[in-house]
Amino acid sequence: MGLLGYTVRRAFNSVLLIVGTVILTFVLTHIVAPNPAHVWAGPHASATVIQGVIKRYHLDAPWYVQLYYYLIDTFTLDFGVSPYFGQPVSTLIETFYPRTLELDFLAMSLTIVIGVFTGAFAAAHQDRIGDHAVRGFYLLTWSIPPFLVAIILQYFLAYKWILPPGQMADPALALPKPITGLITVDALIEGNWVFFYSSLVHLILPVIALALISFGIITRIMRSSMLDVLKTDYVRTAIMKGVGNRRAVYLHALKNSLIPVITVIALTFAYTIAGSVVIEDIFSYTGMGYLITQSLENFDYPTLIASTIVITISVVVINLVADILYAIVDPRVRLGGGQS
Amino acid sequence: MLTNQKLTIEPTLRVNNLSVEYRSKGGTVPALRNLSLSISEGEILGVVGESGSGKTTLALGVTNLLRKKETKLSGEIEFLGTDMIRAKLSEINRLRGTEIFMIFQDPFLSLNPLMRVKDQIVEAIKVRNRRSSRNYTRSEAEKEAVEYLEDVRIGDASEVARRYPHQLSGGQNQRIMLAMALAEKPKLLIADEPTTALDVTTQAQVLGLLKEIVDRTKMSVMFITHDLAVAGSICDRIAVLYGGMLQEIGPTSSVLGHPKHPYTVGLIQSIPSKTKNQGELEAIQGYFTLEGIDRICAFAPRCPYARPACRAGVPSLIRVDESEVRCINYSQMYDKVDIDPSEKGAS
Amino acid sequence: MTAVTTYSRKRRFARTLRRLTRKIPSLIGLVIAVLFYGWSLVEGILQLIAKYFFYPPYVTPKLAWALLPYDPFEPSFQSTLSPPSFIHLMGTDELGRDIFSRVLYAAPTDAAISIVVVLFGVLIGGLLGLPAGYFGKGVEEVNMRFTDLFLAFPALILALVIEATLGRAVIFAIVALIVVWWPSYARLFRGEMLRIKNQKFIDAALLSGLSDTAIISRHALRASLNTILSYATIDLGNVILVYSILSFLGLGAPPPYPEWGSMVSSGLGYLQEAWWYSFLPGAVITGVVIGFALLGDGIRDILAGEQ
Repeated sequence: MGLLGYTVRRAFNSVLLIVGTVILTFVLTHIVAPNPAHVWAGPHASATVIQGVIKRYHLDAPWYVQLYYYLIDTFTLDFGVSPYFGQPVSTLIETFYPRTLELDFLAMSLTIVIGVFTGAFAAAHQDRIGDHAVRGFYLLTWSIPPFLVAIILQYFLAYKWILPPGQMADPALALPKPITGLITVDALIEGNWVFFYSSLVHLILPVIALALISFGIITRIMRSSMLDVLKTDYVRTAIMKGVGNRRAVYLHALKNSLIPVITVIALTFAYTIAGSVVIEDIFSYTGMGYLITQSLENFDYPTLIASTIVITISVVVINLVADILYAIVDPRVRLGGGQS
Repeated sequence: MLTNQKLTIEPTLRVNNLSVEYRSKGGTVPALRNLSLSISEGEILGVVGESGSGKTTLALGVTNLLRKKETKLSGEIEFLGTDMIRAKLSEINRLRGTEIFMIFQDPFLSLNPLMRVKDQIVEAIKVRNRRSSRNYTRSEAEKEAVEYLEDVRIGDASEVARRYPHQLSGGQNQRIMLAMALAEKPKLLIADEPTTALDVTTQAQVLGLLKEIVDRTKMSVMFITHDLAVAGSICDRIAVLYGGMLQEIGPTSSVLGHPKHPYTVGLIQSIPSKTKNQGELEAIQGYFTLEGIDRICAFAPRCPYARPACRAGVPSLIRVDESEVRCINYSQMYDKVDIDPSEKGAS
Repeated sequence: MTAVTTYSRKRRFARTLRRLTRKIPSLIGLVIAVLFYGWSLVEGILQLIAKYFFYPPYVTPKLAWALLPYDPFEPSFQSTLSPPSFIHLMGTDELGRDIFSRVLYAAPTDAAISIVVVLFGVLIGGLLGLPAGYFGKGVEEVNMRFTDLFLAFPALILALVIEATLGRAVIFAIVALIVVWWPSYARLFRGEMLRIKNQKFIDAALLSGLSDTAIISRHALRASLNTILSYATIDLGNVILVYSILSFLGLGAPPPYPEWGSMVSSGLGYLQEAWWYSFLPGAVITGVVIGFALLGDGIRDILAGEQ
């Protein structure tokens, strides 16, 4: 079968899934919605605005015509103009999404590092105090609402200490020219060290907050897979070959137990991006979460729907990337055949 | 008093009075009790018993693979003069690979699924070379790995070397384990049911190969199996385990030809090929039970010849002919034996 | 059902309950769950009577807070933002309302939501997942593709959109939560069904001529409930957690009706001078969620041992 065939098959499935999710949002916004025109226009819209909305979304046409235009608009990234921000929605997303991606990828990296480390540590200390401590810690962070984590960090580390309580950077500084959209990277490219430092410092608390609420996913799966792998005969074979316990554990066992972790990377991404809706709100970080909460508060429906679609597409794409990564690491998936 | 080895030759492995208990929530469960045996150079010792008899525990104990937290060990395991129970981990790790190696039951689980076959053999070669401070380039080591694969008669060895374990058959994987053993050239090879997961034809080939390797390299083997027929086809001596205790040990011809212990007799009678001309296949009645195991003969609850005396205490291991056996029927004078089970079994 | 099976099932329930009290974590979980639902039941009934059987002077709105230390709606401007004390266990908010009373008053809503959402999640998930696992092929393909569609969305964001579409009210929050909750149960039921299908008793049932629906509903459902039960228990807490996020974002019951999530949110503006306003309702949410997680883990350990 080979890696290429596998990738093509997976990519095809992902495209189907994306089309499916877009259709699902259509069903929700055009068919399930009690009064689509009012939903799209917002509750305080005037009659002329509503007329405009009906025309814009072809709400007076049969459903399949509506679907046709909806799909065309979505896949040409034409999400209309935001009634609240007064800008094209695609421009808004272009501005806000990279900021959230920057935040989420940093948070995810931290999540994976903490998760893999604590999971492997707990497995190596199974049923001892270290194991109980790790499990207690992730039970706590798993059960605590994201907003409470953010508030606790803000209260203890910002108000009582030196870290900035919110925003993306010192508001007195001008934003760097958008090149990649990732503001820290843009600051670097511009050589704007003051802004770069300021934005990094402002990232610390939201990144920790996001990592805290999501690392449990990784810890849990890492711990159980490491426990399973440590009992396998191939780890024993490695030990019997005389490679030494360290190589047996950190090369043979760790690599094998990381495989299940790859499968939850996309889940972690979905989890951090949902978490960042709340976290960004609390830290006044103006990214996608800010955009979503603003559009919720101000009945800016086109922005909300477009944000949802874009985020869902990214989740599907990350899932695809994780699947491919999984195949690269695990020859049983990549090459198929044989017993598994 | 061990077995009928010449005392001038120091055995490769000497197990003395080994007891192993598994810790569990309700207390400890005995897995091995007062087990003593030895293996000398170039000898294949078969360890036979049903599941739960303690044979895998013995293998893991000898290789120091038992989890320290879950087990309680007492007694002695002396391998080439090293105390395998009390030695430092670094010392045991120095023996692993070059002096002692182990092959496991399921060939699909005993090789790392993420590594190519050659890399796994090269890893073994590297360990050996590092110890003998020889210097090998990677390509030399790979060439050697392919040679070992040819030695275990894997067709298209250089192609197989590039594959991953899941792409090969069970027989091929087990041959690769043997190739690894060849690369390490250990003094003692522990084989834990190495052919159980294979089909009969492949089983015979792998057994023949193992025998050939032993003849060539003079390594000692502890061959663990539940199948007395397999043990008979390859082993020099056979030890029969039941309930964590050694019940009978002796040269293969003696154990198979003149079995003394009723359990051994039962095992022989349940080998299909040996009894097919005599009508029915006889299975040993009942199930293994832990009840009262430290007070009575472990086999008494299932033994067709059990007498009240069997429940009076644990019989001691005594010498009968070429074998040693743990049965009350032999521990007293021969004329007091009511029934001689060996007559029935050898017929 | 015969008397014997009723009897043995009752005994099994009692035995499971007894074993839950043996380990400290699951005992803590059990106590939290019983306190939470017990209180919610009593307070919920009082609130319903006060709302629907208005009959002065015996039944007035005041009945709803008869058991609470203070009226949860009545402002008291002498004691705004006072810290926790024996007079106000969790302090007061910016209008001088007792936070402890408001937390207790809000409990029945969360209790009801958690049960309704998990129940519907299990129901829909079972209806799609069990046949998918049992029949395989086309049924599985259709059902699981449909499930994957919902799973592709980050749950919270899908819930936000659904509520923004349908309208902001508790009932729509429940609908939104059910929509994002059932897919994981469909997966779970399918997996359980695949596991069960390979066991001998299903073969025996098939050979004895039982119909597919009978096998699914009678044998497979019961066998899979062991696994589902511990998941559902943990999920009772997770639903409360996610609902608190919706409420935090202003998608729960409208003010002045108190809710755990919205209380944290309104306390944010006073974080520096009145930490208790946000922290303590947040801590209550955390405690309840941990309780259900511990209880669910305990149930899993016991039922896994029985299988």
